[in-house]
Amino acid sequence: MSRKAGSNPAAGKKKTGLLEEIRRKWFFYVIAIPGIVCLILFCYLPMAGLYVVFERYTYQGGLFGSEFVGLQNFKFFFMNLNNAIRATRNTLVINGFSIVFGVVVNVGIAVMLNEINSRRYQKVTQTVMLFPYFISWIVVGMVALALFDENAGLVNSAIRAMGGNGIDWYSNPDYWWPILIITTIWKGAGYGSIIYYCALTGFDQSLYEAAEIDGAGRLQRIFKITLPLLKPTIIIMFLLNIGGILAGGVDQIMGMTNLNPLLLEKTDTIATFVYRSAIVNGQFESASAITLYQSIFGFILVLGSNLLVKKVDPDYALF
Amino acid sequence: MKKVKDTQYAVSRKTKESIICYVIVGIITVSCFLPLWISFVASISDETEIINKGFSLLPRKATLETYRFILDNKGTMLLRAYGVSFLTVLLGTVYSVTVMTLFAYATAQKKENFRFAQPLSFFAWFTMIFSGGLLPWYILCTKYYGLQNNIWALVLPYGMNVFYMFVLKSNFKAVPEELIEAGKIDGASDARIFFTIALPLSKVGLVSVILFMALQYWNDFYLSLYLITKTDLYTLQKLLYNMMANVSALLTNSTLQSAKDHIVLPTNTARMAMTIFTVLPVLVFYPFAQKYFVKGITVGAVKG
Repeated sequence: MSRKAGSNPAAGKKKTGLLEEIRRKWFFYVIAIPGIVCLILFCYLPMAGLYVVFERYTYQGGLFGSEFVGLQNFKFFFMNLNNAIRATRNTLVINGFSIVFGVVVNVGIAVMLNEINSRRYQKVTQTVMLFPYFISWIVVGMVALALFDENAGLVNSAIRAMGGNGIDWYSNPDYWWPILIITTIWKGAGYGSIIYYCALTGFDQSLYEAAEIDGAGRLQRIFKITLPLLKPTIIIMFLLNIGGILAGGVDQIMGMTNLNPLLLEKTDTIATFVYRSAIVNGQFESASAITLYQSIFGFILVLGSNLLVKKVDPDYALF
Repeated sequence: MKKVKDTQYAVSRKTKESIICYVIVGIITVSCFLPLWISFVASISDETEIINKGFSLLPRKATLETYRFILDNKGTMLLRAYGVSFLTVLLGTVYSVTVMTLFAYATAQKKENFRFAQPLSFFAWFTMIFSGGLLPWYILCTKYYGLQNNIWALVLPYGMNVFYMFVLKSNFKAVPEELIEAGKIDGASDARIFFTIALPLSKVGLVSVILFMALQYWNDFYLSLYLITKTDLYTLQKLLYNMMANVSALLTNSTLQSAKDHIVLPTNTARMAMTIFTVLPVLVFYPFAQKYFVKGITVGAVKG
């Protein structure tokens, strides 16, 4: 109980003011500063900088000194509505299918790994499957070239060997939704399955033994025990991913297609749209509205998905 | 006797049905390294063979000609890019892990120990759910912070990865309270407790965050895409990306005027050789780091 006595004076001193507290606890105040500065510079000021969407931005005027034009920038948004809709559609389709099929693939891998008895086989396969997670999209794009190159690519060689005609992968946009979705799942499969696999190994083994005694087959055990027990984890991972459905970077598209104009119909996402219009062409007006809208809808999605996660299991929720 | 029979039965069922699992997992595993293998094979193949017969699973006319060509003509450029990438990883990892560790320790405190622990946690957490997006970030970095075309542009913006910060925080939270209290009773200051008790006990989490950050800096493409235009400061990733776009320009533009000397420029093989140069460091260090990654992922998943 001496512990309690130790904390009492501290509680009493709280009233003596912030300065005294800072003097006593200076260490915590000091070590928090670099993090606070980073957050302000690279997260909070950009939030405030969203003000730019209501301005006619000029380099001289800067973020807060350019001419205020209100909602005028949104005119460009509506003038460019087709492009904005296209970017939103591509983002939703690519991320949405990646999330849904990604969950299926990841859970499948985890369950199958669990059915494998050889520890060494398990370890080796898991290690290799995790590897793609750690290479950049630029590398993936290069490697994909060896597979999909129209003349020399391995896939077309195989098609030709079987008597077919080579496919024009890099000029027909229709192939790119599947390609982007499959590569996203491929890259994340090792990472995603680890989370489920860890959940799996924590399950009560006596359930399985009981089922075995009752004569349940392997498939039955998977569908009647493993998957139901895994359900909360699956729901949580799914919801957390849905929160980020509007997000996504430019590196996958740039690495894999090099922003090939022939493919933009199916590969132009919100991120690449903003990059192309604002940074490449310097048209801040047309990127403004979509930036604001991505921020706001992204916020709503994350908030909503987390509220749902919290209902399933508060431990996993962000708040 | 019956028991023995039962387990035998179970074993036979197991092997029968798990063969499917072995095979499918095996196929997925192969698909994870095969593409990289094909690139490697291409990099040691002869360019004309690739043009005529395409990429292959096994080298045709194996040769190190492409590597020699790159090192002869683009050796300094490659070395420079390696230098920039390694410097970025080194500076970036030290900087970001320091920032995150210190901040995480402050937020891991109990309320009565540090009254702003909770608000600071929220301050960091909020950036995970709301973001100003690329546009203002880009304007701020280039116009106001002077983060353009210098090495700091490749380092500073990633100071705080909130996700990994929370991984570190949950690591600090797991340090036994008794040890901290014992330290306090012995008269150790907050700083001393941090350096001699909390930090050593959080080693595993710390190592996995260090490795994740090192990889993030190594693989990063954003910062060099947005903030770097000078070729002197190209990272390996950026160099590789530029090679994808205009490989022949990069190759011919060499001092040798190689277009005249060589009948075929090794465009395909050069791209693949550059790919190998870029993943090589990751490939070398991955086997040692792998177990920490697994730990980091599982901690992050629960407390992220």
